[in-house]
Order: sequence, then C-alpha cells, then structure tokens
Amino acid sequence: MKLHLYRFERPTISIGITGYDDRNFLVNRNQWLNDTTAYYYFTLLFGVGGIILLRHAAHSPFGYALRAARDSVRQAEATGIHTKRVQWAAFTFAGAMAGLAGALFVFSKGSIFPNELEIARSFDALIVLFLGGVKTLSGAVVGGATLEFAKDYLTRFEYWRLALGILIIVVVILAPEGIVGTLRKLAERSGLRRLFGSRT
Amino acid sequence: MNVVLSVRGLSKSFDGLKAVDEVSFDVHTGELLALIGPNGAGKSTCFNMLMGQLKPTSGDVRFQGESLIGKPTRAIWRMGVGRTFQITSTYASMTVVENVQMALLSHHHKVFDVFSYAHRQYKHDALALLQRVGLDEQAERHCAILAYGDLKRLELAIALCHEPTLLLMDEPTAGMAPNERERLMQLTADIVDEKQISVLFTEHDMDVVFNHAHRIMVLNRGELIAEGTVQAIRDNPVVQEVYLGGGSLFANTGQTS
Repeated sequence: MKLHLYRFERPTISIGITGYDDRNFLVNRNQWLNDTTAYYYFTLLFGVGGIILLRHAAHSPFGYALRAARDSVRQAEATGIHTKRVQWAAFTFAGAMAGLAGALFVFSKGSIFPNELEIARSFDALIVLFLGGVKTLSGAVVGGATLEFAKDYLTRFEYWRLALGILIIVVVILAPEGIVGTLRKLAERSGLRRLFGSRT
Repeated sequence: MNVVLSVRGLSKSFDGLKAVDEVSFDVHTGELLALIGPNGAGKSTCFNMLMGQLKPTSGDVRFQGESLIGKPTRAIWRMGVGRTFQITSTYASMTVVENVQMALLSHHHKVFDVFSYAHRQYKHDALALLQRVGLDEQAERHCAILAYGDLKRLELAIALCHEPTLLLMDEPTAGMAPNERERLMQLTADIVDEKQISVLFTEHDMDVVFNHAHRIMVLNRGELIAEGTVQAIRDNPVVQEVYLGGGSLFANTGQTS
C-alpha cells in the first residue's frame, strides 16, 4: 500500500532578481489525515514515540558518552572518547528530531513560510527550556505545555505579551532550575525523589 | 626490565621560554617512577606532552616502540596508557559506578551504541574495580558528593579500566589528608606489584615519594638534574640545593621502605 502523507502546492510562482517568493507554500495533508482528530493522534504518536526514542538514547551508552563529554571533556578524551564526534552525532540526532517536530507543525498549520525560522520561534524553544528545566526530558514536555497553556489563557488580554514576559521572568526567578527541576528538588527534600526518577 | 616508555630529548617552549628542555628518560615494566621538582619545574608540561595534550617543540616519546608524538590523547589511551589528574576530573552527573562503566564502555568500543541500556553494561566489572580501590560501598552515590580522597580513588579505578601498561599520575595525593595519601600510594604500589604495570607520577610530598618510588627523577627549570634510587637522590647535594634550598627538609624526611 502506498501512503501519500502530503503534497506541496504553489498556486503561483513569481521569481524576481533574488528568487524570493513572498507567498506561502500550501501544504496539504492526505485525505486520511485531513480530519483534525486523526492528525492529533498522528502527532501524538510521533511526539510520544520521539520522547521514548530520546529517553532510550539518553540512557544508552551514547547518551552516557554525551553526558561524559559535557561533565569533563578532559576525562572523556583521556578514556578514549572522541568528544567532538559524540557531540556532532548528538547535534545531528537533535536536528533530526527538531526537523520531525517542524514537519508536524507545518502540516498542522497547512502552510510553510520562511518566517517559521525567525527568532521568535527559536525563542519559544528557549522559553520552553527555561520553564521546564534543563537536563530533563519531562522538562521539555512540562515547559511546552505550560507555555501553550499560558498563551491560550493570556492572549485574551490586550497586553498578553507583557503578561507572558512577566510570567516567564517570575518562573525564572522563583524556579531557576525550571518547573521540573524545582519539583525534583522539593521531592528530594521531602524524600519523594523516586516519584520523579533519577535518570531523566 | 623491559623499557615501556622511552623519552628522548623532549622539549617544549612557550614564546621562547623553555618549560621543558631536552629531557630524556626510560620507564621500565613494573616500576614506580617519581618525577619531582619545585613548582614551575615543568612536571605537568612534561606529563601533558606524554599524554598528547601538548605538542612538544622537539624530541620523541615512544611507548612500547611506537611514537606517541602527534597522537591525540584518546589514541594514546587506547594504546594502553592511563592517567589521573592533578585536579580530579570525573563525571559529576553520574554515580560512582557509572563513571567506571563509562570508561569500560569506551574500552569495549560501545560509545555509539544507542540500543542497549548503559547502566546494565559491565556493571560487574565496574564493581570489581571499585572493590579493588575500596569504593564498592559508595558505588551508587553521586560523584558530586564524594570526598576528595574518594574522587582520587575513583580516578584510579577509571584509569585501570582498560588494564593499562603504563599509568601516568599527576600529583595523585594533592589535597589529601596525610593518612589518605599513604593509603592511596600503598594501593597504587600494590596494584603495580599485582599487575606489573608501570607508574610514572609527579608528587610534592617527599614522604610519599621516598616511601613508595622505586626510582626518582628531579626536574628543575625544565631540565632533568638528577635521576636515581631514593637514597641517591636523598644524598645528592645538587638536588638538595636546587630543589629544597639547602637540604634540611631532606634530612628530616623519614624513609620506611
């Protein structure tokens, strides 16, 4: 069986001196994914699958080598680890996962345009990290959910960007290790560390 | 005894300043060789050149007949040269046993394995090494909360992972309490006897050097000024003058072996 996930459509093409085209590329999903619910589950499958894959990679020897290269390049190199190669491999892997996320996002939106690469989109990823906390996989999920929830709630106000900025600053000041990092710390203090696991 | 490491005419200059000047020596199998000298004598520079972290200005270093010049640190490690650092260097986010497992994974060429779970790999071997250095009871503790002496022991366990032929230890007892120093060096000496590996170490503590070294070399301002047995170095007036400024400290230093 042949599955066609997408097809690109460009209604008109106008190429000037620079070759720049200021119209969106329309991206259509195939019929079986046109339904919003179907696409939701399709995205969920890739999202959950991606998180499981990343978690497995983080706990594999490669993940350990990456942590080793972060903690002490000197010791890692002195025990035979080619730290640059490990970091490049991780960069490539992370790029592939970001590419997958980008593809899902574009199909969800239905069009693609270069402004998806602008600084604001990159900041979103950074804010997710600030909110959720670094060095955790669950931090990215919690941070992403918090940001989207805050956006959904705050955009009903006129100065929602200001409110969102203040919220981010408050979280960074009150919980510098992010929501998950802070919860983990609290759990450690109260002896509930195991609830949050020790490896993610 | 076989020569494991042969250093000939090793020199290193930094902007015309000679940090190491025409140093030549051999390390033999099963030998505990000390490299001593005052601060700035060139000991660490020498070590860093042996391990590939610094490129010599001139000279040659041969390990079991093969030149180490131009080889990266990781390649030298794979040839059978381990090292510990003056300031401990471990993986702070990992547990003690995971630190050793990481070195074992590297030794078994499994760094790019993304299929297996790392914490299940070579755990038995890692625990055996930790037991050898007396850290088995702390295997599951995080490195970040270990006492300094325990970190030094952990470094030693990591360095022993690939069963090295030669071990380079840069000030192995720096920052340790006197009783801990003695225990660590005794452990090192036992390992040398047991596995017949060679150890080249730098050290400031004369008790440690005189009690455990089989042979001593003295560096001063980048030059090797003396080489010989413990007694020969103790009695050497040039060493006493240059290294300790008169020799009174030498005379007071006890020798137990």
